[in-house]
Amino acid sequence: MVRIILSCLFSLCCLSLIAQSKNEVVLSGFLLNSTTKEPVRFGNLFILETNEGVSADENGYFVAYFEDQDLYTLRLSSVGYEDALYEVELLADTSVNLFLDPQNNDLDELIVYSDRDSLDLNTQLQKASRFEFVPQEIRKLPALFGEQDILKSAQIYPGIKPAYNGTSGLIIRNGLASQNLFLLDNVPVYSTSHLFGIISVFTAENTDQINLYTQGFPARFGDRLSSVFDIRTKDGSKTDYSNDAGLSLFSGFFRSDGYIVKDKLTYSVYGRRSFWDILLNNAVEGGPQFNAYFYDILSKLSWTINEKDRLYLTVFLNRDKFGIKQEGEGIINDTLVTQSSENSLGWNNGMLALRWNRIINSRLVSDLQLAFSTYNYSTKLEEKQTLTFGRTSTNDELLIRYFSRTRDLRLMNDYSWFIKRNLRARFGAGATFHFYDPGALRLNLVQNNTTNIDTTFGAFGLRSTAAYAYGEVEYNPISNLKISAGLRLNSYFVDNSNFTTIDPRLLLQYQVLPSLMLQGTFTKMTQNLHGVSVRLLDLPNEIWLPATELLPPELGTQYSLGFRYKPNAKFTFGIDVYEKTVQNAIALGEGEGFLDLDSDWEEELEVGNLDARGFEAIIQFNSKKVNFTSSYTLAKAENQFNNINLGNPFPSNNDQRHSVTGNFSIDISKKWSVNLNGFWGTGLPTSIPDNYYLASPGTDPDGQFGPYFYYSQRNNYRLDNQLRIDASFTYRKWGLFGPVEWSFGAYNLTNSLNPFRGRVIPSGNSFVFQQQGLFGFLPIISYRVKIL
Amino acid sequence: MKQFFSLIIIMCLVSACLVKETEVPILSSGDRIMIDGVFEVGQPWDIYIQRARTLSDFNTDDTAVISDATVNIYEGNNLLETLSPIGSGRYLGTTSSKENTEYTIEVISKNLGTATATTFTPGRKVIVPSAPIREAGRYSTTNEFYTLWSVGFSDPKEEQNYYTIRFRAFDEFEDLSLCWDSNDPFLAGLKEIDPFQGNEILPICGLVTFSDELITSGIARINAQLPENELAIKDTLLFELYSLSEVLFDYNKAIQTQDNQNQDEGILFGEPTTIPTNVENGVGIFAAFLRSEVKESL
Repeated sequence: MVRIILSCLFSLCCLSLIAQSKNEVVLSGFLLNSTTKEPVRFGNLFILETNEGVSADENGYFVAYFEDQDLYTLRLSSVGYEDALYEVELLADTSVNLFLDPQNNDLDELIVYSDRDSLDLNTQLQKASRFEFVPQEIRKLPALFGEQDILKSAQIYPGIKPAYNGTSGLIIRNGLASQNLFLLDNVPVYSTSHLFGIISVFTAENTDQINLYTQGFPARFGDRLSSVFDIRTKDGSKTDYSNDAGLSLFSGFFRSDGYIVKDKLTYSVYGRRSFWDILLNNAVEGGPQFNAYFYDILSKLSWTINEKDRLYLTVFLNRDKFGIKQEGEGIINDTLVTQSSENSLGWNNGMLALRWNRIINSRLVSDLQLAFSTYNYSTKLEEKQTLTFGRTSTNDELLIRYFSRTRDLRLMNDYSWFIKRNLRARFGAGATFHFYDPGALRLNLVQNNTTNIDTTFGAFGLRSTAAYAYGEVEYNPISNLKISAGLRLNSYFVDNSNFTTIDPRLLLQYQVLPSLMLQGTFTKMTQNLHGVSVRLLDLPNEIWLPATELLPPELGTQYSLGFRYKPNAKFTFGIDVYEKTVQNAIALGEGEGFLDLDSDWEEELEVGNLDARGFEAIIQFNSKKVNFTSSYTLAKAENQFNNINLGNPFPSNNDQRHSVTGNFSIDISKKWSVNLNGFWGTGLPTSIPDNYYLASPGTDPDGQFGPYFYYSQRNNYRLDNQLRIDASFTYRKWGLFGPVEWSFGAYNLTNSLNPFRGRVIPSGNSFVFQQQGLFGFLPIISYRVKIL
Repeated sequence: MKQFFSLIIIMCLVSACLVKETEVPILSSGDRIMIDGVFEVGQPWDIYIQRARTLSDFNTDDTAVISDATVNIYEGNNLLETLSPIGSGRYLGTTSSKENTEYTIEVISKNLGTATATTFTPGRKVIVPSAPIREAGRYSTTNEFYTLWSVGFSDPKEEQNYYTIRFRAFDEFEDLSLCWDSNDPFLAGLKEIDPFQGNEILPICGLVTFSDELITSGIARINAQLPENELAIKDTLLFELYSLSEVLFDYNKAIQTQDNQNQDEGILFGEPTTIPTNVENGVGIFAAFLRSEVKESL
């Protein structure tokens, strides 16, 4: 199979090169925001004379080919920008930057119409293999707790569901939340959640452009199975300064961007911090100190060294901590007794990435990146006591700290090669050096000023290396057929084991009619690390573990087939069907309540398979003032583990058979807009014993006599259906410093339970079935100001 | 005033963050016949029959026995005997089961219909013990002497076999209080390490159940390290080997898991444990074990 694909690709490339015209001329350059000179990522360039379109890449760089030397008219467009027409006379290869004006008048500082009318149908249809959205559109959605969350915004698309209703963890095409790849400026981010997943680290304020792939993954992406979120951050204006600030129920943020050296060196800074620990500690005087907070810091420096070289430095830090600290002192029998205790739980990400983008020549662009990232998860119990009598004092201390840690050093080099008008290639290679401490416990015991125990044990100090190389081509053999094909070679080393896989990727798009496009995809993916949920405080949290010989890399295969129908610029209708299998998926074994990461952590997990299939439909209407998106998903997902459910298949935990989403927004005036958002889904599976009995326990005369609980199968029961309707009203006006935006509304208007899990609990002399959900009716209030 | 507003906001946040819950009655999937039919080969039939109830009818004081059922035992297709009820859901027979034979149980209940189960009895294994070697070595952490006792038995590889083993020691009063087990059958009797103190601790008594996938040579040899100071007051060592059918092996493992789960964190928390059954139109188990043993005087 691989050999056939390689042969076909090679033949296509050769044919294309041979067929190259001698008169062909090339127009290349950057598509830029005319005000800030920032790149317009994935902007569109349409040649009226030839009816052909070209898209800029993630850096705003484009290369357009023209058959003959002539005068051409180009129409430039992108969401959030006014259309622009350019006339260019091409006599030879030309390099030029083109500019688009942002939609920007009066109060529109804060309004950006999702006007996709002007985008040519062809370009839009060819982008149908991914979901593309910009922060300005996200700001229109009703926001839980007033936080404009990108991951929640993605949930209006088919096949994408919240891991738990109200949280930002995503289940995409029945995969696990840990099978989604979040790339922030091309570097993976391990934990994307704050507050146990209630909100995510990505907001409309700290991102510039998001592309979400759920199928037809390009070969440059790997190491996750279900989706890729390619998130790009803002470079910063080269000509001006821009500042925003805002408050929501949970937190406040500040964002600023501008230039340090005009047209050369820019900065972008974003910070957000929760404030409820400050409120709590102010409200309760003399009591325990609540050390509970989260924050994000994202900053970026972009240096345009010259026309060909650009350097980017991105720093991203975030942290969640939930702790309580108590202190006290008193005098007992003339002895001063000082006591303190601290319990805490927290996790944090850190990332530092340096990227060098070089235009080697107008047709070849290189990206070299070096990145370091870390993810830590820890819990701590610390108690101290000091007895002071006269000049002598005695210290007793106990520290128990559990931590799980992942550190990565990543080096990668990518090349984009614009070979000719209908052929473009990308290739590259990279390696990630992983340093894991899957789960370690540090114990420190001081008694009478003497350290009796100071030791660390558990599973730590595991190293692995993941290397890859890939090649992909985009080829249009005829004007209405696009072939995107690629291969990715993965090699993973851990302990003395090596896992090597070759992942083929294929996306075929055929435009049957100007308004109708068929598409089919086939992809294989490899994931070299496992995400495991650790149940704490009734909500999930993630620990990352390396693939090992006992827990080999997860392997995913996905086929999909679908079409997009776009009779006019405003209306889109699409359907996809898919089948997905995952090998080496992991799960907690039978009877396990939580993962106890001691030195035998690999044996507490089971390895099995997932088989999922589904049908997805989406309908979209986008006009200047009214936007409507609705989707329906029919899906079925089954797991099969040799040591779970007696080896028989059983419904996956996220097997939601039917789900419907809807989003409607209207700009009533320049000051007011309304947004309605809805979700309905059938109940998730859960396990309830069918029967119980008291029995002699097999051959063990010393054993218990029950009661024993009989389950006809794992996940034999369904929770109640889910329904959620949110609404928000946004009011804009000019404030003291610039445009101001107030949002009011409500989350979960119907106050539905929307259970995400159920369990059987004792109630008197019997049992009842308890269903648990997150968040009933909640008001939404947020305030945002742009400081001009 | 500042504190008042702070408290209002905190209450909003706390109420918002709370996990919402609702409690609903459990839908009844109906009672079923439960066959508690684990029997020892060579012993007269001794079977318990009860109702497996739904959780909405939970009462551990009442075993919900079925004392008026008709319980038939078939050897192959031939009726061997109808067991006699003696009360408390217990049914006794006069004949005994044999090795390597297929048996079927049929339970006819007036209210719950008919449940059946078929099983094949295992064959006997020959155990070959070695003489115990006293003071064969010392534990690395406590420096105490241990006695090494090795037993072996043949394990035919042409079929999958399942076993449960147990080491025990008697004193002159036939006290069985001393026993050693481990999750690793080849280390049965070896002490575990307390992760906090680094000291050796005795695992709790219980049985070690394993499949012969762990045995590669066709001859299983199990070495037990038995703490010398505790053996000092004992005079007899006992090794028991239970040969199990596959369904009984799965059943044992599942109920051990549920027992452990019950002790650790509550039976209904954590991932569910599926208990296998070979009963059609009912639940429970009808399966045989064959016990072999060797004794060694100290």
